[in-house]
Amino acid sequence: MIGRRGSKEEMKMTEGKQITLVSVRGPYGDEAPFTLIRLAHAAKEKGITVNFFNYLDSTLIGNGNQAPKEYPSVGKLFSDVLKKGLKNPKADAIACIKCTESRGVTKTQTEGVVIGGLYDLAEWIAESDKTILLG
Amino acid sequence: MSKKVNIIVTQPPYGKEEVFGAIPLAATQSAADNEASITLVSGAVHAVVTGQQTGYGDVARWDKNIPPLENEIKNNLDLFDFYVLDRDLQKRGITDGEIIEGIKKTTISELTDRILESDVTLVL
Repeated sequence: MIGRRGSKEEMKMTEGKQITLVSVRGPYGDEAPFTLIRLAHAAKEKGITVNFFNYLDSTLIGNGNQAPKEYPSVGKLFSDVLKKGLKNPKADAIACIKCTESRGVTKTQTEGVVIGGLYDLAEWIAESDKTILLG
Repeated sequence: MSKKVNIIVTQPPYGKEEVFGAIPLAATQSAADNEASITLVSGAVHAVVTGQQTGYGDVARWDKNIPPLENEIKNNLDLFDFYVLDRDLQKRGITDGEIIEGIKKTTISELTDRILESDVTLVL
């Protein structure tokens, strides 16, 4: 159910945990970014802190001003999940600087996306309870 | 807490960016005390063939060449273990003499063990 918070028992088991979601594919090539965002909402509803690391083409997911005519804007969906994460549980996002520079999207990332690098990902992997790569 | 990070790449080099992205991803792990390895499977095994030459023609027109993956691999071999799946090399007719020195051939059974032993497995 959309927007459902986990039960008290579920929250007890998952609250305070941290998941890192790495992605590498662009926003509209396949459905993976939608799954990524849905997964992040579900994790946050269970009290889990979410770290997005956008690598390679997925740095376009967090780019602002996306206006697809026939699809939902992945940029808007991504921005919403970040905004919802201002309080606990947090949702943070880092975009790889080498990737954003090469695609010309460093300065146009949506609010909440921090420009960083692979050293940040290494730290997130070390800190997180789980790290997965999806899309 | 330091983690064992097992990176598996399935996508072929040059047409796709995954192998090129996996190398710095593995190389930076030691900064957080993580221990990384890369295993190339399926079309990604082409990345370990020696004698790679890149370039689309006139450098003046193309600004700069794409760096050959062979160099990227050789420059990072001392930072992490680099494996390639033996059967996927065989399928593509790549012989031992054509493989970059320092690359370790591995079996699907050994890869399964690495997945079980790792804290994190990332598939690109």
